[in-house]
Amino acid sequence: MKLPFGGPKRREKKGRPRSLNEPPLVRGLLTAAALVFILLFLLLPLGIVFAKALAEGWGMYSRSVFEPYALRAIRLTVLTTLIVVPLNLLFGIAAAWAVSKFDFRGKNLLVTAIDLPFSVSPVISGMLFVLLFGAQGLFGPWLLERDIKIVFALPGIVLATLFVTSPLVARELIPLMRSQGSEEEEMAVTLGASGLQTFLKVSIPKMKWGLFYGVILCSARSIGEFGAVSVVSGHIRGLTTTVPLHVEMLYNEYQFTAAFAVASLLTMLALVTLVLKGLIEWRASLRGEGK
Amino acid sequence: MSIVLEHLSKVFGGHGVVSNVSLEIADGELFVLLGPSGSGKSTVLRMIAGLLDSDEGRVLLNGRDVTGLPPQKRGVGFVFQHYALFRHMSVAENIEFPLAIRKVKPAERRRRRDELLDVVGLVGFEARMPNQLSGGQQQRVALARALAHRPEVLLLDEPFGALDAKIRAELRRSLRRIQGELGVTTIFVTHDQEEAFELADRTGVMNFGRLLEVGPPMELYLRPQTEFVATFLGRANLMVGECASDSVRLGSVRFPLDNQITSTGGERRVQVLFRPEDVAVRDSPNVLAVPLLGKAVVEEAGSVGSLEKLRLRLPPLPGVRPISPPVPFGVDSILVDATRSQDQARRYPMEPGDEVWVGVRRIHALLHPGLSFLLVAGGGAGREAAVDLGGEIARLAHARVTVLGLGSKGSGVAERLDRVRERMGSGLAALEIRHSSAGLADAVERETGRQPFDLVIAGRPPEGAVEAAEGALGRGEHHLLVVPEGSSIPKSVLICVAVGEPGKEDVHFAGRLVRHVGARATILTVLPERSADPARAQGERFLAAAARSLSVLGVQGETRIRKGRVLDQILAEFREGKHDMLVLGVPLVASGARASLDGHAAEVLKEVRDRPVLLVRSRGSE
Repeated sequence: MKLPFGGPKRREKKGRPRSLNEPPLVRGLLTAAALVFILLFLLLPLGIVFAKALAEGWGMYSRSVFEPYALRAIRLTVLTTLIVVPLNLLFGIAAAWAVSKFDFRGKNLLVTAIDLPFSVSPVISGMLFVLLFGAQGLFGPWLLERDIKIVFALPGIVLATLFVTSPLVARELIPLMRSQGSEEEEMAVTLGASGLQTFLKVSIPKMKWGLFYGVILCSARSIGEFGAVSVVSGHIRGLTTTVPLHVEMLYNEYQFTAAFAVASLLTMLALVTLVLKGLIEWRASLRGEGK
Repeated sequence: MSIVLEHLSKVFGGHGVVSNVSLEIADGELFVLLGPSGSGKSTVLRMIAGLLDSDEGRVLLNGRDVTGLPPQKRGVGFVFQHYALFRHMSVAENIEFPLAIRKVKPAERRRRRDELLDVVGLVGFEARMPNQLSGGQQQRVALARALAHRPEVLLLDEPFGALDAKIRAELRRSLRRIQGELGVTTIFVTHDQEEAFELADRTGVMNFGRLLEVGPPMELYLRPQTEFVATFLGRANLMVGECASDSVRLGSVRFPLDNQITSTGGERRVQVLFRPEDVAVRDSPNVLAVPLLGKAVVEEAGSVGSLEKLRLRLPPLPGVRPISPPVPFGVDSILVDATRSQDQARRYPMEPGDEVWVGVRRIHALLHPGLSFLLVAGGGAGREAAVDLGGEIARLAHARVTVLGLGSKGSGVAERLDRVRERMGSGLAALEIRHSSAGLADAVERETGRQPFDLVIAGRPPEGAVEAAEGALGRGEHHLLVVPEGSSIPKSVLICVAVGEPGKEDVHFAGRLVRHVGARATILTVLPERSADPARAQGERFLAAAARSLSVLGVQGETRIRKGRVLDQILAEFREGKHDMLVLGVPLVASGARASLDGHAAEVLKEVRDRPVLLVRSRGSE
């Protein structure tokens, strides 16, 4: 993953020196290849989503989006995201703080462990929770006795989403905090600030842009997560279906237009995420922060 | 006294980064802590600010012991090399930060901020963000911020290190002015001697974690006491000559000294210093009204601004060993650096290759003669330990080192010595590597005959340690450190003395070594079981005198008297006190004869197998 604003951005005003430039033919071919790829695999599908969604007119579109099950799916997705993002924010700051400010045994292990959810297939993550909390799972009988429902309910969806998105904030913050060092914190302390004051007035503002970026990525992924949630949700329409699951169900029921209408919501979300990300990078480079 | 440091020490990963630094800084003083990178000067500063805990010692600010206090409670202002401005705050917010933390009212905050912006010359910059300022401007803001809460003490850690020369000079003047106006006691850390000369009321020079000398910068420049300070502050011509009561002999010429040297323990060699501007150069001996060194050849000549720099080559002088400028290996002539005013250079032009006469206007003898060590490498188990520990001690003592490799050709000695050279390369005053296929005793005798050494460091062989030690002590004047495998720099040294021993050579030499490695010392004497009170009183007086001479050297020492059998009591104290090096005086039987260890020394050496033992030759009743 690319560090969003690692290091000062030097805009190359005069371009690359001639000695490093490839011949025009090579440049042209490479650029054309990239453009064709983007057109075929990114823009075309995007266009199709909106075209299909609006194929039967605005009426059908708004009916699909505003029908009760769709609204419930949206509510569930928003609720999950609102729970997951703050928790991940806390975890991300704590993990990044521990990794970048302290030396301890097993530090490398922790860094690797943070990345684990990325390397495990989401479906397997979901199954993990079923195995743990499902009726036949490790804690299943204990939970059953106390009538606590985790799998096929909101807690399971939240847990699965949390697991899948947990690396996102930490991964943004670790390189940022490492490169920023702790001189400003030391300074604040000699100037009389307490630990909490230093954290709130110096450390948090320092990593502000990294945090924003992490939150955006984390929200986008929580809203769009399909695999893990699909396993733990149980697909109870109107109760445990998130927006992506709702899209899948509509599709499986051959309600293509409705499926694409709801899918267009997710697509627009992706576009908003991109724009926000671009804005943040632009602001950060403008203020020369995040160095 | 605004700042008092008492025996401050800090160890990182087994290495003493700061050892036993004591310092007093007066109210309103601007003190410059000077030293090469890695000398521990920044560590001292961070310990004063509370950003680092000290392992030992105390920090007092205005009479208040702040050693255990967190940085917030110390009331210091700190300035880092890289400014450390809060990048998300404007200049105004940065400067007001310490006031906002202290809940000062906004109106008062603004007043103080405007005052400080005026002081540092940045009026009108309130709304700027740090990244809109140049490096010099950022450092001015950092200075204003560090002063905002009216700290009692201002600490600056290489504050101008990242700026270019012109801005540095400008900021130095500003700092001097601001510090004078506000009267805030200041410590300024730098590796740049120019900053010390321009800024300091007093300066302290650090190397390898120890504070070597303290004084006004010009005083240290003109009259340094140690080789390191002599060569670190400005350019130096430094050589070893022979000493008389009020003069020093270089070759056949006697030079009057500008200071009295108190000869310690019959030292006849002395290090003398003359600066390039003290050297007089002319084409004829008759026009020089100063003592002459001799006739030299101009090696290099070149102008730097207002001065002309000359490097002159003198033929070897009997009994004189050059130290600085260093002479390339295998060359026995003496190099001398000289500077002349451009006026002189125009009037008496000199070209490389010209023959000229060299005189010295002013010469200064160093109080502490430099140490020179012979490390014996190879030739069996334990001998690598001698090179490792000896090299480490030599680095700390800034000693000149000769490594003597033992072993017949083809036994891998050459390869081993190459590795030694790589390992020890940096941080030594001088390093020479020699090889001998003779046995230990003969090889050491040959080397010490060629050139006198203060200390021979040899590994402890598994068998026959006493015989080996006798061999290594031989006929010379040197002392001997016997090092077993796996030894490390001692932290606590036990010095055993016998009451009424003729000299205090053992205490004195051990004290010098202990000071260099930054260890603590305990002086022990053992009295017979049924000794009378007068004997005890005499013992106490003797120990008190010994402790005094240690404290003169800057070594913390305590004293102990034990009664009983000498060997048992020494061993008991050594184990109980958890000391890690033992010092014993060895009386010389007769001058010129081979040393023989008898009595306690041999017994102790047999018993103490796992710690270094220093055998100090007592000069007897010569």
